[in-house]
Order: sequence, then structure tokens, then C-alpha cells
Amino acid sequence: MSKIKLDVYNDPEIVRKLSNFIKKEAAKLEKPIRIMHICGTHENSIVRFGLRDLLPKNITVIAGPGCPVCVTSSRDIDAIIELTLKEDIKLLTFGDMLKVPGSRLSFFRAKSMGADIEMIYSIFDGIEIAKKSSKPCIFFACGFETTAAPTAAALRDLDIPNNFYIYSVHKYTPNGVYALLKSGKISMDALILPGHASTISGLKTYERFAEGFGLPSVAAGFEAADILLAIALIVKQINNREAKVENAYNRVIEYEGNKKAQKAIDEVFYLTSSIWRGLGEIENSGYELKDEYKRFDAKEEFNITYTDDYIEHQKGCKCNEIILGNLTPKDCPLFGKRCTPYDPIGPCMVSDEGTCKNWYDGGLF
Amino acid sequence: MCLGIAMKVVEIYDGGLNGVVEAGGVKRHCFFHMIDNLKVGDYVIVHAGCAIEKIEEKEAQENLKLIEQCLLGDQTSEQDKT
Ligand code: SF4
Ligand code: SF4
Repeated sequence: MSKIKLDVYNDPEIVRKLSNFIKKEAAKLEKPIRIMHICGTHENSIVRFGLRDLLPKNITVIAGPGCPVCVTSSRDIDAIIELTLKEDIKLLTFGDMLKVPGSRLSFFRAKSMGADIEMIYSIFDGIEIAKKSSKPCIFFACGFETTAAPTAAALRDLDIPNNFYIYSVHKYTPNGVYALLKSGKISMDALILPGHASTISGLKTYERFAEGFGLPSVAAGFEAADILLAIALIVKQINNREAKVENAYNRVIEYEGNKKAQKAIDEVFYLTSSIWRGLGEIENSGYELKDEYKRFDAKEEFNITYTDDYIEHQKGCKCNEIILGNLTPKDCPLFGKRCTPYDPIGPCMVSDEGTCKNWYDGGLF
Repeated sequence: MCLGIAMKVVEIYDGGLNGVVEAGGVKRHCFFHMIDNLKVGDYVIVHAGCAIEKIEEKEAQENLKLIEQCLLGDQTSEQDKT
């Protein structure tokens, strides 16, 4: 039996001590700092544990482009909805994609119009469904490297029926965020690195953030103490005038990442430019199937057409500024009024990792 | 969708490729393609039906040590002041 104690990371005493430590270190800061995390699950924990209230005024934690659902382009949603409505196919999707608005429809609305759309928990479930179906089944493969790895491993290692395809909107977080930093679209004084995405990619890839942009970059887990520990290490680095990559989640992340997962991804996918919702096209940030795996590619198999008139965000929706950390949900006039999880206007109000959804669920009006 | 959950390995079959994991009394099927040398009783992070990393006991201790260091450093600086 394992002796790993996971609950200590939520021990109120440890949380209190860490928060006191941060306050003391923060008193030495020369100017207020903004720390960005790039993981929707971090935002979830921060809101759930009320961590912003435990921080001194001169430390602001902002949410960056950390939710794969939020950055999936309307162009892709529209195209696949159109196909599903037109042809006799079944679309398989993760639950949190269902309500995400495209330019006109969401998967959910399309389903009510007769499209065959089924919610799945994993690609493995999707493959089982395809085995029993007589129709072509397309898995809408959304997610960062954490989800791209299982997709790749499944396509490589499992017995896949001939009617199973994927439509990849998988994205590679580090390259996306790096490009945004380079373009000056986002700015911050330090980064909290994603806990789970980093288990795959490793922390090495973030050295270019620390060195190139002088950003202390610390990987964190998802419990209260994990995130506070990362913030404590960041403030310490800033006070020591350092900018390096540190691991505050050693129990899970290895510096080099998960080599087996990286190998699966490398064998199946290559990186190419990809459209991020509201942010535009970013080079080397999207995963597409390599030639050896093209037979699974829905983009090749079906006549998928794209139009230029897709709408990423409805008038008034501030999601594109929110995912850059420039605004918070409270800055959106529609937040909690016309836009709620029951009737979301923008993508950030849909997924459990979306910033607006997290703030709404946390009662932060 | 992409919430990773720490779960305990309760069953392994298919030469280590698949098995069952459990958390809070809920059991579910899991793929282990990406982890070597897994044993029943190990903890893994499960993401969309797939274990993406093992939680290492040794590192868990280091994680705690890191927290302690931070806090101990805290106490010494307090003592320094007095
Ligand atoms: S994919 Fe992983 S890193 Fe990204 S938001 Fe989800 S849990 Fe966080
Ligand atoms: S509250 Fe709704 S409309 Fe406003 S930014 Fe968030 S998702 Fe967009």
C-alpha cells in the first residue's frame, strides 16, 4: 500500500503558513507583480480555494490562455457542425465542447436539429462506439498535449475500426504562449507553469521563457499548498533577481517530461500553424496527423469546407482579452447577466476550465 | 475535459496496457500505454481515460521538503529579526 499523503497539500495550517511567508516576501517587492498561470485547472483551484484572498495586494494572479476549449476556433466548430448536419456521420466529443458557441450553432444546438452527436469521456470510449456503429465516426480531438498524447497512443497502439476518424484541433501550449509573449500580446512578471501539461512536455521547454523573457517560471500542482508554494518560489526569485524554471510539483512532473508520451505524439503528429480562438493563427502550435496516420484524418476523408466569415466572439464578449489576462470576467458587461453557463455567449463560460465559468461558479460577481 | 485526477491503480491486465483505477469509491477503466513498471497500489494522474504520469513517493517527500524549506527559511528569518 502506498504511503503517499495527498491531503497535506490542503492542510489549513500549511496553507496559512505559506500565505504568511508570501506576505512577508512580498513586502520586499519593489513594485507590484502580475503572475500568469496558463492552465484552466489552476484557475479552478484558485477560485475554489479562494487563494486570491490569501495574497497581498501587490501580487495579482491572472489567468492566461489555459483552456483548450476556449481557444478552439469557431472556424473548426462551424466546419464540423456543417459536416455532421449534412452527412450521415456520428460526431464524438468531450462534454465541455458541447455548449461552446460556434459562429451560429453549438454542438448542442446542432444535436437538437438532428445531428448525430455523442458525448464521450475518452478517445477509448469513442473507438468502442465506432466498433458498434455502421456510420463513419469522427472524434473531435480537442485539448493540449495532455490530451494529444492519449489520442496519439490510441491511434498507434489500438485496433481501430475502419470507420473511425479524428478531427484534430489539438494544440501545443508552450509554443502558443511563447508566440504570444514574443508578439507582446501578453505580458506578466512571472509564470505558473501548468501541472499536467508539463508532465508530458517536461519543464525544459520553458527555459526559453525564463531566459528569453526574464520570467521566473514555476510549475505547480492543483492543491492550495501547491499553488501557494509556486507563488512563494516566484516571489523569492524576483527578490533575488533571478529568473529560472523551478518545479514545485516534483511528485508528478519530471524535468524531462514523459518520454513515452512524447514519443507517441512525435510518431503520430507533427506541429503546424493553428488558429487560436480570438488570437489568430499561431505557427507551430497545432498538431496534425503525419502521413502514416492520414487515414484517420477526417479533414482528408471528408469534404470539409471553411469559410472566412466565421465569428470568434459575439459583440460584447470579452473572451479574447480575458484569455490574455488583460481583463477579468467582471470587466464584461454580459457576465452573469446575458451570459451564464446555462446560456453561454462566449467559450470562456462553458468549460470547467474557462475563466468566466470558474468565476461564475465561484460566485465572483 | 482536461481535469487530471489522482487515482489509485487497483487492477492491471493486458500485459500492463490496461487496467482499472479508483478514486473516492469510483472505479473506471484506464489505459497505461504511457507508464512503465506500474504496480497495483500505485497512484497515477488520469487524464481523459489515460494515465499520464505516476505519482512518485520519493518525489512526494521532496515536494513536502520544498514546502518545509520555504517555511523553515521563514522561521529563521523571523529569528534573525529578534
Ligand atoms: S490541458 Fe492540462 S494544463 Fe491545460 S488546462 Fe487542462 S489540465 Fe490544465
Ligand atoms: S462573460 Fe460571457 S460574454 Fe463575457 S467574456 Fe465571458 S464568455 Fe464572453
